[in-house]
Amino acid sequence: MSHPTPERQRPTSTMTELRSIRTTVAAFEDGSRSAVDIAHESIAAAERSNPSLRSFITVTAEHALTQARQADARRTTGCILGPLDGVPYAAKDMFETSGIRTTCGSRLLQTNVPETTAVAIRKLDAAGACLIGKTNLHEFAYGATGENGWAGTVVNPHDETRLAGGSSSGSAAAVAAGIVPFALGTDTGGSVRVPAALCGITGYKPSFGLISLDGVFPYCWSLDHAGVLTTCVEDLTTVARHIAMIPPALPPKGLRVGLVQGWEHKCEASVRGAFLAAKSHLLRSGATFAVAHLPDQAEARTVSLTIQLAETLTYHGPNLARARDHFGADMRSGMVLAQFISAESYIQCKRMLETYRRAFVNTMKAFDVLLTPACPITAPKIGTVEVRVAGQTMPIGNALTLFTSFFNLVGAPALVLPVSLQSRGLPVAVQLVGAPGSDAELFEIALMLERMLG
Amino acid sequence: MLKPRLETLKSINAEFLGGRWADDDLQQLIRPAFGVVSSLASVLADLRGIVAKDLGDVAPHARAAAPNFDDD
Repeated sequence: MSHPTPERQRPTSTMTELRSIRTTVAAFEDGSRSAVDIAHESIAAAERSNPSLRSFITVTAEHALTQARQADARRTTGCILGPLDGVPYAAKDMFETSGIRTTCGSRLLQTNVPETTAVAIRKLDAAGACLIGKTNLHEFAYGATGENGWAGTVVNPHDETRLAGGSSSGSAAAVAAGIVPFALGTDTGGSVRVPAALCGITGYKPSFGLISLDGVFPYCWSLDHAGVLTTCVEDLTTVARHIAMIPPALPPKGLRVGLVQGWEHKCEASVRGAFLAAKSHLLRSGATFAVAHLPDQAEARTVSLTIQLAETLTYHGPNLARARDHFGADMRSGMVLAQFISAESYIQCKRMLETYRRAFVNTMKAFDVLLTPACPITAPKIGTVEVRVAGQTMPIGNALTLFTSFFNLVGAPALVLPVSLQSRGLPVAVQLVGAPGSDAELFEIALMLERMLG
Repeated sequence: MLKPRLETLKSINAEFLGGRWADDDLQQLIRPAFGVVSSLASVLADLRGIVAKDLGDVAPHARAAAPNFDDD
């Protein structure tokens, strides 16, 4: 598969140009750079930018260089493992890495060195990719801003006075700053898609369970998804096909697009402009549009919150007695809230998941894809607590995940891609969502839209 | 809307939870908004409506993970 990679807005304040997998591999193939050269560049970029960006908790220089030397040796003998051989990447510090510190962004785990490696990382090892570091995050993936009192708050490469979004904040910033061509993240309510949108890159959350979470610290078993962040859709597909079983697919003919009523009016003007631009391109390509009806989203948010907090208290609660003060403020506030949620409420919310899933599968019979704004707002200033969205004041974490969290409840594949506007302001993005299990078709539609937006 | 009182929360913490939570943790719960999402009062109010729903014979968590190739 080969498609032109669209030009993206360049981060203005930090770092180099964006790296794609294709441009990295091209450098290998034309002999201009070796995998060791590229790894050195990525490591240097990570270390140079980290005092300001805070995108990495641990830079794994020796590990990456060892993997890069092996990749170069394979290339010399013509035994290349595939398109990721020698390509540097980063992983959210929720993925276990044998012999490499894995902190989950928490002081609680500041010295934790696992003995095992997450399945997704093992697959990337087998593909020859080079892990250059473990990225920063909202502690234990609970939070959408990327603020972290222990590891430092990840800032947005486009404007260092603003948040990168979270919880996969470091992964998004590292890709957006051109440090690595791709990174792994996790997404429980938007934690891959939100920072991807705010940082102007692409982010993908698969159908529930499609990318293994084996070896990933749980935040919420029922809603966690592993995901991928890259600079373009082509790279998303390349990485996803290495870590998950995604069959080939053709783009649908006569594309049927669902729109969620009212969502475009809950956005800042620039986000609405991006959404309308994407809609206009699809319309010109012959797509048809109709309203997709989703359940009461305020209620769905409570369902999501209840399941998240109850499950995270269950997992982390045993550590409270010995290390309460090692948890950050957000985690403690979430867990204490969970303590007063009844078992009946939790079980009923789990039943709601099933009703949502059935209804969503039915809704998607009429559509190939949903098109939505990705985030209602552009990257907020660091320290923002509340924002006004469509005349309503809401907590920042609530606002950032307004259009993403429902699709974790139904286990649907979803990805965000940036939309370049004439204004050249902060990044804005749209979201595409497919029916559960339609990841391959979603990639084809996203490639088509990306080319249109080019 | 339900309005949890600090005294009630402290009693529950002491009598049923073994004093698991510090007072400053509990004090957050009586604020109109705290942490990254919402207040206890609003969550409990929303949950009353959710728990009252008759969902028929729908069982919890019937969703299964999609097949993957993660057992290498």
